[in-house]
Amino acid sequence: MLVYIVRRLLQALPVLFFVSVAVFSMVQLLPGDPVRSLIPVGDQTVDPAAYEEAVQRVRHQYGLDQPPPVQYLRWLGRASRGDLGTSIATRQQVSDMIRHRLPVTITLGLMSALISVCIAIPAGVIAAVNRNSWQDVSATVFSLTTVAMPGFWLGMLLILVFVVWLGWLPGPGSYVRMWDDPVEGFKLSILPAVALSGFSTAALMRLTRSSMLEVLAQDFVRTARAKGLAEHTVVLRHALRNAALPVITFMGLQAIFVFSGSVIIERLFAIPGVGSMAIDAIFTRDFPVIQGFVLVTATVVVVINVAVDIIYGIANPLIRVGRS
Amino acid sequence: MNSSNRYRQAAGRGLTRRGLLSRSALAGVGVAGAALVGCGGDDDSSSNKVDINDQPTATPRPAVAFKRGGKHVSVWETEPSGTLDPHMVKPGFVAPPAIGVFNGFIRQDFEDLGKIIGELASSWEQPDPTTFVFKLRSGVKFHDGTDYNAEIAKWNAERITSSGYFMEGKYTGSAAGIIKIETPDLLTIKFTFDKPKVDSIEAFYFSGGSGLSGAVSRKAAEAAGKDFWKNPVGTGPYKLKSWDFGSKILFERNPDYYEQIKGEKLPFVDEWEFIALPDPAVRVINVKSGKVSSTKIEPDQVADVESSSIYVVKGGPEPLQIYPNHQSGIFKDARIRRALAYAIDREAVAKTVFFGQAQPNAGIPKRSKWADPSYTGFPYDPKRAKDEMTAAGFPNGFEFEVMVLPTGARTKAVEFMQAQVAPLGIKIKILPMESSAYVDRLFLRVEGDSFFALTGTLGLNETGGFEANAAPTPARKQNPNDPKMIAMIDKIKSTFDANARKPLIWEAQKYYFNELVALVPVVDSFRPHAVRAEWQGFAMVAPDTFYPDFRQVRLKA
Repeated sequence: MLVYIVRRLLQALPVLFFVSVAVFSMVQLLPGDPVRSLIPVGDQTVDPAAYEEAVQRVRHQYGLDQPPPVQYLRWLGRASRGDLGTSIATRQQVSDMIRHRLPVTITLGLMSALISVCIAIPAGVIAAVNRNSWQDVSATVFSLTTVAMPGFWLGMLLILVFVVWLGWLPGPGSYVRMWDDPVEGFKLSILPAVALSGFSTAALMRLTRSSMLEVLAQDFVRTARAKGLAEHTVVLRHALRNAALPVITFMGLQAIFVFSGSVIIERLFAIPGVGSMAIDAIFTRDFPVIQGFVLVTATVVVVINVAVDIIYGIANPLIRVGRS
Repeated sequence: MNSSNRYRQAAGRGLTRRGLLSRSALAGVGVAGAALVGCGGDDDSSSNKVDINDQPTATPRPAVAFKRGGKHVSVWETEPSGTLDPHMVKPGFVAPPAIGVFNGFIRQDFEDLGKIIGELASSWEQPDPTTFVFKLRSGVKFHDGTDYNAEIAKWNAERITSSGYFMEGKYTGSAAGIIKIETPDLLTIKFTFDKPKVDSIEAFYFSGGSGLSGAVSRKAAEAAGKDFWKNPVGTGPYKLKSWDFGSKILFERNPDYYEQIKGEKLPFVDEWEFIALPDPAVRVINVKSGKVSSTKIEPDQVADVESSSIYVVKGGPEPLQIYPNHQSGIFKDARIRRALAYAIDREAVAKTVFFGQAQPNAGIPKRSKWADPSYTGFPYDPKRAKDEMTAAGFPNGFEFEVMVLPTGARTKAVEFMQAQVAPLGIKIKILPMESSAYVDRLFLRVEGDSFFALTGTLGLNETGGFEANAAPTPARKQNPNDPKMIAMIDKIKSTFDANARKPLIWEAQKYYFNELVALVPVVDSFRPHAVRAEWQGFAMVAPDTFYPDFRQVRLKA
């Protein structure tokens, strides 16, 4: 098992390398010159040479006058030491900005994952066990509706119902971190977490249902029933465990949904996470922040997926044995 | 008497440039001091000195009964400023919170553009064409208890112009050319420019993150080092209490703040909080529920929000215009630019796209001291548009592309104009594009026909403000290169008598729009702000008027 884990970790390194190259190249290829946007626009009386001098000086200050490979290596060297540079727009350290905000997004992501799992897996199992029943139809309608509904729209509806009409929950704009005030933090996070979990809940429910249907039709389930095991034992201990493999894979992919979804949901609910930071950085052409965001989120996603692979190996010994 | 009245009075007495200069010679050559006389001097007789004690304040006075205390919660569209170091603010990122924490030497009035109001300067003068002398208020202290004086003012100016500060004006801004900063005594600071410039005074305006004059505590800045941006210490009406990065920022009243209105010490509220609410719909929900006291809203939300408990304050106006590419393509021909200008029904754009929260753009706003009351801009005249097209050799129409930021009302406005001009055979191809991309494409690479965007408001500065778009600059290469317009601007810039400058600005405005069509005017859009009815004293920051000024906000009694 240790060999399997080490091998999976080593396999992640080239992925991270390519991610870093892609991130760096992507930002380089974007149109527009961030340096010129920093220099106040001169009028025709300004000496063009003085203007260019200012541009070149700021370019040098940020190391943007170096060839791209040199810039990349410098950036990678600093990034490996946790230095992601300085925000062009705010002059803050990007690593500080991410360190401050990432826990907020991760908390939101964990809450949304928890909501997804708690709703989707039981509902998917019930729908599969009661195929074509009203429970199955209800679950299907729910999942299709949720999948078709964009996260920001679901978020607006949730605000309208639970904040404006019912007044049960506080509205966006006064975010409190969960570790500062657990009760208030929970109240403020529940709606964005539900909005963020909408798509993945629906997708996970459909996946659980189809996976369960496939497993329930297999011989070992029939054997278990023939042995006289209770139905809940057959479903939960035998069928669900085998149906869980694709579900675990999907949950790893959910990390991607969390980060991409958080860009919209965090703006809607005014949550100070990395998603809202990224969208602000994109609008202001704040390249160091964009690079830092993509690099960190890509790393988190890669790490989660490696962890999922490891769990996968634990859940299904055939996989690690077969591959080794 | 406000400065405009003074100006008119001076003009009415037939104050000529020569006459003014000869009188100003008593205190040195007048130069832009003439503008200062028009902008707030205590009389128009012989001095170009300005004394704050005689000046009316910029923003609304306490007119109805009010009470002190309370917490005003306002909204910032994204994070409440990335930095609270006024010398670090990226151009274009004026930080409203910084306006509450810091002061400058002087600021512009909102209601009467061009009028200058003293902040840390109690008076100022221009003894010769290249020198500005500011007398500083005595007894002003920073939030940390240290004194504000000329030595600190000089240290601040040198901090701003040193390498690494974004507002570094020595290369490109109005502060370009400052060659010497002296402090004859602890309450006097003297700036010397390398050559006379009409607009040098603008270097000393403060609006939260521009100019030379945002005063930070030297002791605090040196102690905090690179972290000063999150530990700001100024002389302003509010002190930073706490900052939850990316979410909210809380200020408390500075009990030692010097500014008073009618004997009432500012500020009136105990606490002022900025919270981040990026989504417009969520902002409206919050102001309706009373959770926030004031917020920027969208034009289409005004009707929904206005009620007995909420009133709307108009910010702006922000001119929205089409920047044509004068260097290549269809818009090289002025007749085509004029045809487009005549083909646009601005009233309809203002009413339909902006829900009445806009007005047809007609050059310098009427609130500016440089406004020409007789100038009405381009009329909507399809026949003249057709005539111009025929004269240009395109009787059946022409096609051009417009780059536009794919957000909000801008795209809608271009789509509306697209339908509006189509019957004349004018085809608009809309290219949604992110701002840096179209700036890079049109401004720097001089590609594409035009883009539709917010432009700088005219009439804010001492020259009328045409120069940014009237001739090629290092950052805007697609601008017109018209010898007559350049000569007009040069003439304005070398005319130090404000009275003599005014007709030049009027003449330049007519040429700039109606002949050269440097920009195709569309509308001046407002930035409406919804304010809870229990609050008064809500005003906008001069000179750009995009952002609220919370210095005088207060609860009704």
